[in-house]
Amino acid sequence: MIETYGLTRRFGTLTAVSQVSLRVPDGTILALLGPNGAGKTTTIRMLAGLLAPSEGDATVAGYDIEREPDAVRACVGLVTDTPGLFEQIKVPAYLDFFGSIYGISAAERTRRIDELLEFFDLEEHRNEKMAGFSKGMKQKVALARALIHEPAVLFLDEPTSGLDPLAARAVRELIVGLKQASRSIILCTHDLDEAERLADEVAIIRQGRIVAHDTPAALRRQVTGETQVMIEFADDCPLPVEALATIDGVNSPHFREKKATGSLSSVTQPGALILEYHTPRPKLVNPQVLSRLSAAGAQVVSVTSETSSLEDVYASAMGDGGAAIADQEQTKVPSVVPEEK
Amino acid sequence: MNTETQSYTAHTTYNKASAQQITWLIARRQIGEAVRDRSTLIMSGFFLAFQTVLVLISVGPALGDHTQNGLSNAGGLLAFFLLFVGLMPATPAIGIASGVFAGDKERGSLTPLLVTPASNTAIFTGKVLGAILPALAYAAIGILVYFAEISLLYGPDKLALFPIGFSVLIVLLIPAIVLFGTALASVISSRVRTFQSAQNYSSIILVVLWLGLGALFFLARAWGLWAFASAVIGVYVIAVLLIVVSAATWRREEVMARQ
Repeated sequence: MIETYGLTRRFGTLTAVSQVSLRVPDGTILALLGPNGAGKTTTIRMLAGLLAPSEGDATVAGYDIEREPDAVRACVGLVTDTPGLFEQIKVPAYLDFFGSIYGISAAERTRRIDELLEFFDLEEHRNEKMAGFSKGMKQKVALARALIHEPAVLFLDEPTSGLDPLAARAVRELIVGLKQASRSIILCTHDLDEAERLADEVAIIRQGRIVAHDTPAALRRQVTGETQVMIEFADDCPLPVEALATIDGVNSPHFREKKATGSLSSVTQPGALILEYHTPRPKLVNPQVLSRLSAAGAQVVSVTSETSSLEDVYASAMGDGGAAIADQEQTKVPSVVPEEK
Repeated sequence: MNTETQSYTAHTTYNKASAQQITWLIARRQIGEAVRDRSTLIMSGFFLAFQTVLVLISVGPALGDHTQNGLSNAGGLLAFFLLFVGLMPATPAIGIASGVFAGDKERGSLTPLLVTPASNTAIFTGKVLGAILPALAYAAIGILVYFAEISLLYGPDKLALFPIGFSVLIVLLIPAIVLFGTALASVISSRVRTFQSAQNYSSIILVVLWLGLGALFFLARAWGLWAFASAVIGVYVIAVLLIVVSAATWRREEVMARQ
């Protein structure tokens, strides 16, 4: 469990992190999104017991980061975008070094190292110096290092940065596995798709402040507040747009012709028609629309709905929309955790 | 990646290793790195070979003069070379010390160490100790090779030409200088942002150190043994103070804040 209340860090006159309040329960992943210099790494460094906060409180696995930094460091694992290995030695010796610092007994270290080598498919490379490893393999070793002491909390600062797609996918699979083992994980990433796929919650940080924080689905809803629905017909729709507009919750209904697959946008597929509308309550409104269409004898081929992507949310948070989302965030945070001491 | 074999349980706690154990672990790893560093090995090997040639060229002819004055001069020369052969092979290791913090920081390998429960003192002392011990070992090897060379090339009896008091003080001065130079290079390395800066500062230190030593050597002969002994003790005191004060004031937070 990670909890922060009004966490702030200043470097001279620069406020790198300002009033960050977060809660990451066990077995959940929080993705921290933001541009370079937004304060993601500083936040992680404070939570990992590497930097003292200028203001605010935080507990990590039940330990206070300011009063018990040694205890915090004993129960966290950190992986950065740079593997940071001692490349002239072999993986077992490297893991053994860190295992010894964490006070793991020799027998336990041997067991853990064997287990980690097998888990990361590094067994066949155990007698090789790490200098010859690929970036993906080095990142696996960095993850193994972060796990040698079985930490309750993991901080992953752009762990898939610079990895090829397959290696990145392998690391993502691992992260999901780690979450399932009841760990609290904070994942800093620029990859919105990665955040959307892995994270239970997403916090967007801009100029040191959290400007949006919720589940990915809830954040997407915050941007437009509406879902776009598209209903495709086999033939013409028997109901006029005006008839559909009378249903409460159906906004901006209109017809358009379906574009032929792979064609230019100007080319349409003759006969196929699509009804589009927006609704703030799709679960309530869509059945009504379909019922009305069915009663009128419409032949519905498919129904699809789209909410905003996380990219839209991020763009909104980074632009002017950030202020609006931040306002919502300010009013929401105290219900979860007190924003200030 | 074998996700099926995952059986980790979070919240496992281990008994923290003692500060001494952690210090030694860090020192041992640092020593391993210094010993494996090919450029240091090549440089130290070069200096050992160079001293052999130098002894052959310089000391050999001096030992051929069997007059009282000639033997006295030969003794002085042997003592001078003692300082030289002790410090030359250790110099690359002092240079390596400039990378113990700054180099690791640049490679990203310092952060994983800082995020462990190891105390600030254990990390600093371990890294400095790991820089000092290889330099001392290279110095000892240089001295032993020198004595062996004199014995083998000119006979063991020539070892008696070394002015005893003066030579003992030089043998004691070498570790003091190595300690001081390595500690200073390590301290600088811990306080600068880049390896390049650390190396630049260390180069200046080495030049000043060599000039100081040269001056000390010639002054010592004029001052006498007690003054020289005091100077040796002074270097030890300064080196130890430097390490103790730096270890007590070094904070990982400052390293992270400077990144």
